[in-house]
Amino acid sequence: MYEMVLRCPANAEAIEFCDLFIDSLSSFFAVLDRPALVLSVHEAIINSIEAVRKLCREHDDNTLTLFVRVGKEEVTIFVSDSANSLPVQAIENRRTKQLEDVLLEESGRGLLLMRELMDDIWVEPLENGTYALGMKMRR
Amino acid sequence: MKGNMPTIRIEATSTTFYEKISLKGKLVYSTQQAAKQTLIEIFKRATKDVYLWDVSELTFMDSTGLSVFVYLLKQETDKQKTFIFVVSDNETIEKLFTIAKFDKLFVFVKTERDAVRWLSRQQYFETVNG
Repeated sequence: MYEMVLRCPANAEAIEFCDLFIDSLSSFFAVLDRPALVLSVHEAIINSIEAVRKLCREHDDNTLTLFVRVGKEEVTIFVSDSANSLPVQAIENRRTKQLEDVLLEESGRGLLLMRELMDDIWVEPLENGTYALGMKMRR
Repeated sequence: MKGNMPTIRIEATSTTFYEKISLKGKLVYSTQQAAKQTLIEIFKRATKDVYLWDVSELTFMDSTGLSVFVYLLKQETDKQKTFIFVVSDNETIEKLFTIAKFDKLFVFVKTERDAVRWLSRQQYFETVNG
């Protein structure tokens, strides 16, 4: 089993870096649906960056953390951020909503896409009292 | 510290029957705002009712990129505009459009020739030619 933790500034550059990181990792570990994994993590990173942008001040420690565990049968990802604004309610709402329901909406599609592309997504309580967005995909 | 940032190239041409817009690169969080502005300008100059989107060379798109098309469609709803997407062999982009259920909003074809055939079936050309 491999475990990796990436802590980076919560900005647009991090999205590109995490895309490359997950793409390389998926290639190395022969993840079956590589584009789906890259896009799901990409969407989670966008959510974190948006949360930090809205809720944190400029001089705060504005970071996001990407944790990846590659096991024999599945890849597990956790994304958390310094805003700790994980919209638990939004995720719960998204459990009942379908992508058809947001067809003409200009936001709120990211979590639904993640749910379609991954085998599972959930809210993971962390030891320090904050939360991470968890997701899992079979290799 | 500055890493490689994604880019998008947009080319627009006006044909006899439709406005053709080619997107090349990445339509994502970092590029969607600039892309939207460019496309708004193209739409202002457009004179046809059909927009043919060539997305065959779009290498990556996220939810914010998808939203650009929704935004543009909503600007045009009162004008009876049709959006046709040419996906070619770009399976990743085609799959994303399908997952997002965009086939309920737009027309998807493999080639530009298929798009012309689709328009013929809709008797679009007769309408345009009067």
